[in-house]
Amino acid sequence: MRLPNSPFLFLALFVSIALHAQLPPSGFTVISAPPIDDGNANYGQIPRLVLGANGSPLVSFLWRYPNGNLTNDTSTLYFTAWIPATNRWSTPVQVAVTGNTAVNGGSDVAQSLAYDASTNTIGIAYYPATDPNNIYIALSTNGGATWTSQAVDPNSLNTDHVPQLALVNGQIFLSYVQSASGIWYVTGKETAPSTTWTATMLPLPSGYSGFQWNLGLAVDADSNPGVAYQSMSDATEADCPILFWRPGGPALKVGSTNGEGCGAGLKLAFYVTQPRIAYLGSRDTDQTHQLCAVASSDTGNTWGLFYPVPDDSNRLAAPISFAVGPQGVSAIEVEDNGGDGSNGCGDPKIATSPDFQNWTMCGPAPAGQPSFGAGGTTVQYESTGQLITAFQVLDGSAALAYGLELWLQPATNSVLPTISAGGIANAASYVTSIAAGSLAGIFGANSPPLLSPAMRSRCPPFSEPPASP
Amino acid sequence: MNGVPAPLLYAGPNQINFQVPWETAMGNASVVVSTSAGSSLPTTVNVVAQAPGIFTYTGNRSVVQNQDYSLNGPNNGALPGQYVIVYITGAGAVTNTPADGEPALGSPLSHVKGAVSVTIGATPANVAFAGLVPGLDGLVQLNVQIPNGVAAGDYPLQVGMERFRATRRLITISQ
Repeated sequence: MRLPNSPFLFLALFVSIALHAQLPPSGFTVISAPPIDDGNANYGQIPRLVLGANGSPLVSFLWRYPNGNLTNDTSTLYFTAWIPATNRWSTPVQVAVTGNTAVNGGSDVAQSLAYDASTNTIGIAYYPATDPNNIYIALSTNGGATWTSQAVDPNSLNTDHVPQLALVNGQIFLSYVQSASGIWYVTGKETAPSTTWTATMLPLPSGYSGFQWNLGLAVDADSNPGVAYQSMSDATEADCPILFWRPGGPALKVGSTNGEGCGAGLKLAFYVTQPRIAYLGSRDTDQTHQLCAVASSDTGNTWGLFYPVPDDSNRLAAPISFAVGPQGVSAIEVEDNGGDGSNGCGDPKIATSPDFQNWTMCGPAPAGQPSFGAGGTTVQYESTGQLITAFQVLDGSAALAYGLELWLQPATNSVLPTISAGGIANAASYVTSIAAGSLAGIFGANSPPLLSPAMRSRCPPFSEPPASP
Repeated sequence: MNGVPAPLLYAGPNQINFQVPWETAMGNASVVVSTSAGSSLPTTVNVVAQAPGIFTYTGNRSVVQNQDYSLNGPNNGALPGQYVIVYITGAGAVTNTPADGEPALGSPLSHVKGAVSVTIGATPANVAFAGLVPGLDGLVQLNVQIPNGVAAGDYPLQVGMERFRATRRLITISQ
């Protein structure tokens, strides 16, 4: 008997090419259901989402008190990835036992997820509740199957918070708040030990003192990082100017808060090399708007007007998330903090703008749906222009089960797919009875095309489609 | 299928190729296609224990590799006594069942559980191996010995499994 072999290498090749173009279904879908329902909505907290290879989403999240024991806190950070080859999410993998970090660090998220396409490295910066005077970075070079963590700030005498991580071209870019000290910027090679990384305390303009725990770090299209942060002009915290910094440069003042105090959330994103900032906090004397956005017309030296972002009649809360997409479209995701009930949109709340000046806020679900978990705004743009975000459903609404969920914005100008009558058949024989585990075909109008015409020509069906499926 | 995500192998504007999840029960199954635009209406398909189909090219020729791994064809027949590899799908349950979308292992192999028979023309052929192709998912290979005494020419190749028969496709025998 000859041993089986794998002669259809071309088949495996086109499978690989085709599958990497697949995103999860649009609308609301489940990322990960809780293994157990403890009734306390502890699964899927503070999720972070970034885009991996070919836009496939990667998600990290916290399972708080998985053993139900608050004194022996084994709260754990998990990671899962959308796997196009299996058309489903990977089984969540433990990254680190962190203890309950969900409520530490004020209004921001206690972990930050990043992906480096050049090295296929996934990174998570976090601070464990069991070692709060430290920041850790966990890295994975095998798609999130295994992780290696190292400490970044082992000699700190104060607690660390609000990690913001980016990975670009083999380089780590990290910023975090060290309470009572300031805000640190750390950089180094992904493959090097953290002891070789360099740390810089962010500067303050002359006359300012103190840091607000508001922080955003991002890397522009030229691989140059920037940090947006917030200071206090005096001990009364009446005015809290928003600042921007590039490594090696001075702290640049973006704008003041007009004596309205310090905000609750601040995030940075780049449109090519131009930094943009979303800010949750009042700047109006009548406090009409809770959210605003400001952009630089260059690489961060010159800043324009603050544009108000209207809410949908609900109060807003941190944390916020901010993304800039194709052609400069922008989105800010924000927590819902209750309101007068006149809003027409459900959660998650997302404000969008085509031009950065005119904003509208809504949500993908009807008002009151779903029951949105706190602590996890994490919006991104796919290259198609579709918004994508992960969030926790607290109690299992009518539409969604309790657990970690995904929302992918449906593509515009598209129609729903259809299946032809009798259009499901054995992929080899086209007989309309099929067996478990076999390869089968669906014939119909699967629009919009999931692959480019060029790619489709490289990905033929197994055999010629029937003339009349 | 029945709410279980099915691994996709190809997606074009008018056709999707996928693997039927191993856990799909026999009987009517509900199929929904979801794209970035939304989801289709559900459609029902009949799931059976086995539904063998022989992969083909140019319409009616079996995808068969000769003993030297070349593609069997009108000008490249298999010799009597030699082994060839026939590629099919729909063989049903196997041993060492891989997870949905996961490739079959080379060790241990995944053998087809049901009985498999092959005829070339009217002559039964010895099936030395029937199982999943290592490294791929959903694809089954049959290692078949060409019966001695078969004259040169094109013959219908038929695969039988229990009470199911695959549509006959052509194989070329040389001398």
